[in-house]
Amino acid sequence: MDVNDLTYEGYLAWAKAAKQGAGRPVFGMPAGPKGLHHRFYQGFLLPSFTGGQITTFRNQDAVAGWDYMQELWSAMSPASTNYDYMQEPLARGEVLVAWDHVARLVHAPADKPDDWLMVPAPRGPKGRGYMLIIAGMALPKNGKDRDLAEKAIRALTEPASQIETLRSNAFFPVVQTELPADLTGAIALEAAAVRRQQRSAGALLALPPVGLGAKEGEVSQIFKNCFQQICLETRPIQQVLDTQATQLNTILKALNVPCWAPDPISTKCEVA
Amino acid sequence: MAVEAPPTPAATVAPPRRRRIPPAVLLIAPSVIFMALLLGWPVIQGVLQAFRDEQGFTLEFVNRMVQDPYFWPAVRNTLLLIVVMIPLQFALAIAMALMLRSNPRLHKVHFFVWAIPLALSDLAAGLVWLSIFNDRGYLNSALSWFGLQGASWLAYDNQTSMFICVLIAELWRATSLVLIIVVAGLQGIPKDYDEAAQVFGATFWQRLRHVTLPLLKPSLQVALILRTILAFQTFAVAQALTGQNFPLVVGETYRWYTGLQNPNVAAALALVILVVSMLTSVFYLRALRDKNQGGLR
Repeated sequence: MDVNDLTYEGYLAWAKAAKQGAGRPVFGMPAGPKGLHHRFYQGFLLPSFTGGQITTFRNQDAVAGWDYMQELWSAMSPASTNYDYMQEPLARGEVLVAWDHVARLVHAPADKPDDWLMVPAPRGPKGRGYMLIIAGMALPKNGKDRDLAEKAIRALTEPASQIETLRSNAFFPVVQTELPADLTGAIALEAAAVRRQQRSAGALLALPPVGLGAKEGEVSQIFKNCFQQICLETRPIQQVLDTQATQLNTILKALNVPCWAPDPISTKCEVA
Repeated sequence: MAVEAPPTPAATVAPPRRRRIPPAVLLIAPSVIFMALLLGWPVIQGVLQAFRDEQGFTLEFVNRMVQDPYFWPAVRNTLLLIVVMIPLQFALAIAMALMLRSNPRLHKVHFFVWAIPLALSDLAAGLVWLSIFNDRGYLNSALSWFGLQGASWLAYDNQTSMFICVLIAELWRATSLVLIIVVAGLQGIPKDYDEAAQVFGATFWQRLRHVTLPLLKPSLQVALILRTILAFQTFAVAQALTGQNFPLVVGETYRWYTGLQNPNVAAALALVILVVSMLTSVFYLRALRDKNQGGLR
């Protein structure tokens, strides 16, 4: 098995074998109150299984995805519901393999980068879903010192400052640039994995919910609710997805926004 | 025929009475204004927030609240905690207060030590207990020192041990409040009653049941109402110990307000706490009414 080209099936088999071998579950995920596990469902699991995020929320593929998640959870450390940043349990050795936001992982390999691997996310039936955060910068009309403000934005998007951001807090450059060869251990691991993930076959870009404003938290909570009810309370999957889809549609209807990647751009985003 | 009224010199001397605001009103005015601004107004705002959107009256937020998968577990946990915790706390507090009354050596030190948790913030108390109960905490370390296998006390699939951990932490933190009220109540009871009962040969339990407890009733009533209302607000300890694995109603209010940024549903949840607290207080006031004195208030 190539660890740089995992499939979700392979990942599950690995987790199960590791649990059996170690005598305890050694895979974990950030399912704590401040953890980012909803991003895993939104950007990785569901796109890989369904090719979408919102429109496909309760179709057959989504049921398969959550069915997979239920099985994966049974091979994961139950303490995951207390993990916010995976770098801490990883560094303590409580878990050995984990998914998380890169910036919440880099401290684990910081001391001994040679002992660690960072690899792309697994791929599923519909591709290798991965999430990218987009941030925009804007200037108000008629603001003072427009030239200086434009200069500031230009300076922030310079490759040099992007690389500096990568070095200091692990945020990957958002502009096309060659990476320097002298990156420190953990950052070099990250950079290689992110590049590999972006350029891999079947890479499927997903975005976190776009244009929701203050409602973003509620939409993400829907995905966490699915995890809570499907994985922790082991309720019937289709039923959970139907109830949560109704809630999701209530929120989306009031907002009236177009869908974001990987869902097709439509005039109005809704669960089908 | 008009009758000329005799002139009344007193009326011309004294200023007109109706215009003058009675001193009592002036005296309570600051607190009335204070209550209206800081309690009355927010309550009205809260009710409006829970039941109104741009279009007017709506039950949407109440619906959202009830359909949230954490709501009913939160209600269940809150009630369960109160039902188990309050009797335990009162039994402990009364026992501790009786011990203090028997004037053991260093009883002032005991009292002081027992009152310490009162001065601690509840989040700090939660974090202290987290360092004891977590997977690599003091409890599991101590167990492994004795050669025993520790357990994940706070794991999501171990609801019972999670509940017991929260219960122990809350007992430790909040019993001192009851203790102080009970101690104050005990000090107001003259020793003559107890001694008289002793003379007639009443046992310790008989004296407790028929002399001390009835005389303590007013203090107990105050303590019960205060403690129950505060128990509905239990939040930081459970939050620190269990995150969202053991949801409580106030914790949910906090989550909806800060995490999900939906003040309307948060207001609906806060109203649930308000209504339940009010109903409990009324229930206590009625249940513990002193029949001989023709009712309290």
